Amino acid sequence: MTDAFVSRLARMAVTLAIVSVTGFLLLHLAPGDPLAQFALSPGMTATQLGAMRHQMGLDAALPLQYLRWLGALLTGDWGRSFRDHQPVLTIILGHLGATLELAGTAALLAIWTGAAAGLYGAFRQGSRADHLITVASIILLSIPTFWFGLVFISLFSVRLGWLPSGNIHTVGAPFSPADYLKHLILPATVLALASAATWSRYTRNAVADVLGQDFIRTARAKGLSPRKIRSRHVLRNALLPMITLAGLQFPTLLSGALVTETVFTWPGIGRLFLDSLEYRDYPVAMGILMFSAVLATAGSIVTDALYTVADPRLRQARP
Amino acid sequence: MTKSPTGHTAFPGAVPGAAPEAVPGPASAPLLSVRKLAVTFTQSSGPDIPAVEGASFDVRPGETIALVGESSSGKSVTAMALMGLLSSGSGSGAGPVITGQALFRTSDENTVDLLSLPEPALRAIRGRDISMVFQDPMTSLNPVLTIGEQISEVLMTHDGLSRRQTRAPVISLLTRVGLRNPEDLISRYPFQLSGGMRQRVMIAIALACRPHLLIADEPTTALDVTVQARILTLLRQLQAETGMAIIFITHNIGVVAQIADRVVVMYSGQIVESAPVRDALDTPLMPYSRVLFRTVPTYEAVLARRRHLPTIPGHVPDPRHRPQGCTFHPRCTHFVHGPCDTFRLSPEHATPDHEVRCARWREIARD
Ligand SMILES: Nc1ncnc2c1ncn2[C@@H]1O[C@H](COP(=O)(O)OP(=O)(O)O)[C@@H](O)[C@H]1O
Ligand code: SF4
Ligand SMILES: [Mg+2]
Repeated sequence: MTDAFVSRLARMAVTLAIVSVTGFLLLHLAPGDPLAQFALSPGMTATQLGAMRHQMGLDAALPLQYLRWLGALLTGDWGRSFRDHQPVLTIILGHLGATLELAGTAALLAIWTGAAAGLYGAFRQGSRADHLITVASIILLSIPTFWFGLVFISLFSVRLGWLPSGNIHTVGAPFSPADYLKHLILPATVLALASAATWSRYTRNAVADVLGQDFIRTARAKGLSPRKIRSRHVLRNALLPMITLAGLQFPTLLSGALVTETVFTWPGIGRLFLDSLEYRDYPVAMGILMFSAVLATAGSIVTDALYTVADPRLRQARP
Repeated sequence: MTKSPTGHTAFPGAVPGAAPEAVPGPASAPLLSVRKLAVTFTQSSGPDIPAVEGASFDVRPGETIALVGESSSGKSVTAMALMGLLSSGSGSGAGPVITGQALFRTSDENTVDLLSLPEPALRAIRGRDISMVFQDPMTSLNPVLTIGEQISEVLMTHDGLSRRQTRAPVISLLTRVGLRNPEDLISRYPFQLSGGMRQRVMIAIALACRPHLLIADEPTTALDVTVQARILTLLRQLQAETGMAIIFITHNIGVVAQIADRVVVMYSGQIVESAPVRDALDTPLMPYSRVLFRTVPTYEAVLARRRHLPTIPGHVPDPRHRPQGCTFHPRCTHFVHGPCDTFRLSPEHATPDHEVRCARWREIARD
């Protein structure tokens, strides 16, 4: 247990190191200059710009810049935004809530509808409903999220006027849960679509796979009712691959949030990331990158732990 | 430890757990009476597959029937049809077309036709009056449930016990199938057990509700030779204790001699010979069974050698394109044009309890 855990942590550290180097290189080698915004200010001289560049550490060699950034991060200093000089961690945490609410709602929606559709299809294999669910899932999976975002906005906001097209609540109005929910529905649904399709396909295959196993025949030979067989024998076994999917879906949901937040001007981490890229706000961009990478690897550790709980074969075999 | 073909001392009482009664004579009413069982798998593309055709046989209380025949001759399909396990049971997939009759005497003394019984009524019989042990103990147990859970759910389903009440009977079942440390075993998972232990657990599950009929579909085929022998001994011992009847599907002729009262030989979906074990092994009449049993001609010799089925030149015909007349004729050394390849044959009685499906059995018997 501890050995496995230590090696997991080691692998997590390596992953994070690779992510940080790659991210850092890509950011700094991409065209663009964090000082471009200041360069256009009236009265800004080249000398002043140079001093700023020096003060921000941008004139140092790239490896040195990386080491400085890493050293600071390891002491808990995430740096400050180039734009408004706020501490990076404060900015990220300020946007985290909105993303978690959006992604969490989407995840719940996706799991419930997707798993339900998958179960339905698996228990009625070959039926018309089963085929329909399969085709619908494939269609959902092959259309990009932003397209659904734009279509939903044009349909439900512009055409029908049922739901707001963006933002987290009505600007200027006092906060109300109903208003918040209204703003949440469209982006959460759009973000959930592809994930729900994945859940449906995956659940169907996992359950169909379990249904074909010999021990299901044993359960039937025991005289158990179909309901008992489903709840005790099928679901317990199908749960294992579904836990894996939950782990895999976590980063996917985060990257989906990036697109969705942008389309719906949702003030979460995803939009913050795109903004930081636009302004070459390296500290914020790197901060978000590292933050998400930690979340994703932590998610996979949690998944593994859950898997161990759910599958007796992975628990330490008692002698 | 030779068991005489009729050497049963026990007979299942009408009430489970009642004191064993005296040995019934051969005329005792059958526990199960299968008549003209036919199973046809229909396919969306391609011709139908008649997996079993016109199978008729009886199983008397306490009797052991050995069902033998080459692979894909229809043995498992016969067993599964009797258990009602060929359709998926969950509403999807129609399953094969099953015709015929299988009259079974339930533990509450009703006679029912297993083939036409609605699923809920069949469920009450499965695992209680008729149990089944399958070939592969590695895959037949649920990997994520404990041994205790998998045995106790039968008792909870059929005997209405609560989880707690099943503990004592589960432990006693595990002891009866020869497993040590049953208190410890109940919280174990299948992957922690050897193949032989798992098959003992499967047998414990099958015996939990004191069935009157056990169907064992090649229960030892997947096990090592030494383990095979022990499982077989266990089954015979349990049969002596409970008086249950057994349909034992096997490839192993030695096993047939050890365990069977009657032998039913299947070939290409049909029962081709059915006789008491001594007659079947000593004087088989149908050329296919003769090849199976003749190479080692006597009952004692078979018993001593524990032979597997000999291989016969040629192969079992594709069930979709069975030969005209006798389906064995392309492989038969006694084949003659006319009688053998014109009409589908019906079983005939050579003696009152020896049936054979062959156009030339009289001449063959004279040899
Ligand atoms: N679910 C199924 N669908 C179609 N054909 C089947 C099915 N199950 C068995 N069969 C066919 O029925 C025949 C008998 O099979 P089986 O009873 O399993 O043979 P065995 O004697 O080896 O137990 C075989 O030809 C097999 O291909
Ligand atoms: S009927 Fe003819 S072909 Fe068939 S087993 Fe008898 S002798 Fe052989
Ligand atoms: Mg078989």
